[in-house]
Amino acid sequence: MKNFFHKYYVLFIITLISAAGLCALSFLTILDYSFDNEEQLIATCNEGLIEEIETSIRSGKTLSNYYGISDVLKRAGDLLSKGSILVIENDNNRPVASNTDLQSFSIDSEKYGVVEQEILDKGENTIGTLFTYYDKDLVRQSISHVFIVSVIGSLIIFLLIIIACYFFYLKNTDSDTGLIIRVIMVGIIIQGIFLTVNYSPEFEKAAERSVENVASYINSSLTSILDKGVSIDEISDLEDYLKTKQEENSSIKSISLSNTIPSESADKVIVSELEMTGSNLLLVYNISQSYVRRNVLSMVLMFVATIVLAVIVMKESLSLSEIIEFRKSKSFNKPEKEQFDDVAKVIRYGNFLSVTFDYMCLSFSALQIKEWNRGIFSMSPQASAALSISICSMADLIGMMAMPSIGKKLKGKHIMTVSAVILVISNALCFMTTSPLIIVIMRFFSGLATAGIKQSRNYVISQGYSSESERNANLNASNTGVIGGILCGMGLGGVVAGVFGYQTTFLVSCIGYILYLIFEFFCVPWKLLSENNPDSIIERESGNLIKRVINIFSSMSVWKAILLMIVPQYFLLMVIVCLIPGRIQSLSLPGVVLTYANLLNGITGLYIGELAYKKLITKLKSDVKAESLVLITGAVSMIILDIPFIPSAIMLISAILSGLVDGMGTPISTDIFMGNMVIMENLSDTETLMIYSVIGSAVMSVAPFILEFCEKSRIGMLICSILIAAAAIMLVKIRRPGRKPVKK
Amino acid sequence: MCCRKKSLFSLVLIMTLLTLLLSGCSKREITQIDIIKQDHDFDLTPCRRADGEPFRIGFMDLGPPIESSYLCLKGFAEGMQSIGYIDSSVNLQKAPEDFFEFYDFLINSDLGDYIEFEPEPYMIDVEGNEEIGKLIKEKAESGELDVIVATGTDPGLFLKSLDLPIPFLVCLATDPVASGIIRSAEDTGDEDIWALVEPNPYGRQFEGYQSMLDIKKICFVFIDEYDLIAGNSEYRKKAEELNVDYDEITFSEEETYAPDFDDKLLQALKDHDMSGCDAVLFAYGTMNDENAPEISKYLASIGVPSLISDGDSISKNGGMMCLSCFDYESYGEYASMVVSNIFHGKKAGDQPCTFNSSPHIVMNLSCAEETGFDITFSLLNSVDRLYR
Repeated sequence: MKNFFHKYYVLFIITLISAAGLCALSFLTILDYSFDNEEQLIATCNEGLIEEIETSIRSGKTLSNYYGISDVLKRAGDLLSKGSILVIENDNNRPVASNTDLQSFSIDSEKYGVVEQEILDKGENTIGTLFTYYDKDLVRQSISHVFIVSVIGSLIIFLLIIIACYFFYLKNTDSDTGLIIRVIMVGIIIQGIFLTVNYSPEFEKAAERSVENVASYINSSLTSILDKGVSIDEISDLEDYLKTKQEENSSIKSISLSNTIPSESADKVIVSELEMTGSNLLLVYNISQSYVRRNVLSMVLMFVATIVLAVIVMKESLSLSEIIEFRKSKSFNKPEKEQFDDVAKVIRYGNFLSVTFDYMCLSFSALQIKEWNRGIFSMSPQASAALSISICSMADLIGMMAMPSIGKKLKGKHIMTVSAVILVISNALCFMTTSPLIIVIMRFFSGLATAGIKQSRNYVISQGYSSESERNANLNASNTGVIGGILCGMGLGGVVAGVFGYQTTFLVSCIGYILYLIFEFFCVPWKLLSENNPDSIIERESGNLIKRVINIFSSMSVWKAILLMIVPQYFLLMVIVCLIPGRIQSLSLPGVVLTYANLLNGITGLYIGELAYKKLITKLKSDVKAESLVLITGAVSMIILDIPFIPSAIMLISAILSGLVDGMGTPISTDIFMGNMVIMENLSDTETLMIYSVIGSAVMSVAPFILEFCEKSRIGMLICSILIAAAAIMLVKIRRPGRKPVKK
Repeated sequence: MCCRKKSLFSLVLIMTLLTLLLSGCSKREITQIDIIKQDHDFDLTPCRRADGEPFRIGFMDLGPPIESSYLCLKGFAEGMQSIGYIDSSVNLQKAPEDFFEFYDFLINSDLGDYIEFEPEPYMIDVEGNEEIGKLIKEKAESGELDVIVATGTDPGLFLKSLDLPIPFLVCLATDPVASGIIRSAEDTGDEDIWALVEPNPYGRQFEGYQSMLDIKKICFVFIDEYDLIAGNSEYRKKAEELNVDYDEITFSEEETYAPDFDDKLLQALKDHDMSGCDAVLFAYGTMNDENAPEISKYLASIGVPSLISDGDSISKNGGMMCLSCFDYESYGEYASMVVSNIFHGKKAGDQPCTFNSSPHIVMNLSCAEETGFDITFSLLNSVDRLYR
């Protein structure tokens, strides 16, 4: 039993996290769905209020001199859920009235959701905003019982998974880890099915509640008109009115007037009797089953995506036990083949950890600042949000340019330690702060520290081999670790931000970097690396760096490699980041398409890319030809985005091709660049990798603007694709100089 | 070396503390709502006179009282009750819907300890009001009367002529500036005088009609001498501003006193070329309760909506629609808040005079149906009262 847990504790921890993630995700989905329904109801109910205020404004009143406005808000508040707070702000964002009797009060964003509706004057200019704060706890309470059932059920399934694993462990003396993972996967799938079955009726109930509330509002509006002495037939556009209300609320399929209760209907029906008509008129609301099904399907697809992410984390973490075992062995820190093989695993897992926690919080600084709606100094919140992202990239670039000279003075281990400590502190402060300025400053430090992490990563790659195949393995491991990290970081970041809020991603990153620090500190053979000089580093690093960099940039072959290979390669890496999401948005495809595009892109790059890379090199016997083929694949991934049919499938195919470009192209292009004779004569491997990263970052900072243009212009997309294909063809003509034999 | 280490340590410590301080740790994300005061700043807490006695209020109108006077009085009483000057046990909703009967209801009810009304409303005539003036002056000087609330231009001018030592409020006058009750909406010219100013009510009314009916061409029915009180010029100006073509049928004031005025008006409408006309707007003094059924019926028969300048009762008697920018009840309520400020020691002349009414819409459904007017859900929703 002890051995069993000792061997698989990492997998069980990941399984527990996945199970909790699924639980949280399912609850979050139904909660979001319920919030959407509540917000649609508020928007519908407030229409009358806004019309009344706008009519008064158009007839001369002003928001700052609107006698009785609080009473108007109080009347409107009576139509909404209990505890709803209405506040009107003028065009200077100053609150001018509310439905409470208080002059000063505070709204906790954790407790209240908000719906914003503009108030327009007769010139259609915004002169104020109506904020409706609804009590989120009331919505949560309405579904809390299902959440408790899902937690208990998930815990039972988790325990059953462990029991089943133990059973197979006992039966299988060879202790096949693959079998254990398969058992865990089946268990997680069962949990997903259980959660789907558990929550599906709740989606229907939430839709029913929403329809009942809308029905109650429509009834009271109609009744108030009928009370004035109008008969129902005299309202000329009643059908149009009901249709508008149906369109405003996704839960409603149709609304009709009838004298009898419909006997049979494929959809669930809510019937509401109209008072005052004297003719037993009924309003019949058909609940949209397709809307309910769409939401359930969206939840299931998210489950699948999460399960895939969990499996990837498990698969990546499988090497952890081996790394720890090797760390305990006597071969650790010895210049032996096993140690150099272990370095590739350490690079892959280390990269996986650092990039996961880097990407987990990457975009959330901007979203957090936007949510606070506060800028720094005199900047707008939007500009401050963008700054928090760009300052991180700028600091990364600055850091990378400074790293070669820092690398001479500080050892790789020290750079890694200092960088990780900075990342721990800056992420902790980003989690704790409520100041946009602190977030921007801390993101700057994070950018610098990320450059340090990259420097230490390059140091391990360039020092941790004894043969060219080991160096290629290191490069490949580094790339796959990065791809896996990006994939899991973005996915898990989304889940953490969605469930616990944007700032929590920084806390998770902070904890993650502590784990990374411990891992790197103990599992990287620093002593061996500092003694291992595979390529006369000392000799090459002794000269003036600037002079050596000028030397390489005065070589035509280096420029060819940069322009025909690195630039198109890095440009293509941004297709999944900028072009595909933009395309999905402009085609109004469901959000889940983007989730799956990212997922397929990552999986392709991570697993298929690695296999394809090996096969391609063996088959073509030329890495330049292989890179050329990769670039042509990239050009195809762009050009197919213009195909006008089956858009979702096209997006996914393009994402897969883009994943192949990353998975195959990055190690090949790095290898070609490092093998350039001029570069080899002037720079150490660490310096080469750093220069390569700087060029890549520069391309990636410009690429979004070009891809934005491509997204809007078919011609732009065509020109870019042709240019990349042309670069691919011209690349084949570059004669790659032979590599120097690796010195030992 | 030791000193350098200490300095470095201190620097790190100070930087850390500063960062934590700046970061605002442990604060929760809270939106603070501080409602800014409206331009009108009223002290809405009930109070008594300095001697502990209730304030005494006089009410003045030009006799005989019309519907608007009753609505103003009703709004004033309801406003005083919502502030707390009138006990909440007094059921004003059940009070009679007539000026004198409503006033009697107030006198005979136990209003509480804060205010009381004079036993009778002061009803002045166009001529000969010396007795009333003398009585009011005596009461004001002896401290028996604290404030007077008046409805109408004539009562306002009459009170101004008395030069009273107490404040008075005119909560209903067509144009208190033009008539000379106050100097302007911003400066009343006398610290004891306040009058409600409704800016450009006719222009706003026309704009409301235009946006509801999408009028391209309209026919106005005016009485020439009533330019000021009926807003003839304002209608013309607004029509030009909105690029609406207009015709006019104009009568003199003298013609309206003639017994056959109603027939003449109907005949003038029949003789008028109504082709392309989207509506007829009847300014003050033209369509009334008596001639409304016949005139609106004729216009309905040719598919032209009859729009009324002012008066719910005209619509009740047949006029298709009355969109009024005179919200008399709200005038009374607004005056009650001004009175509260005065009771709290503020000067009447310093109180804000401008008040914009929300449109009040009354419609005759039978006439609208006969006219072939499109009765939509949103229109019915915004109509305050419907008649058949």
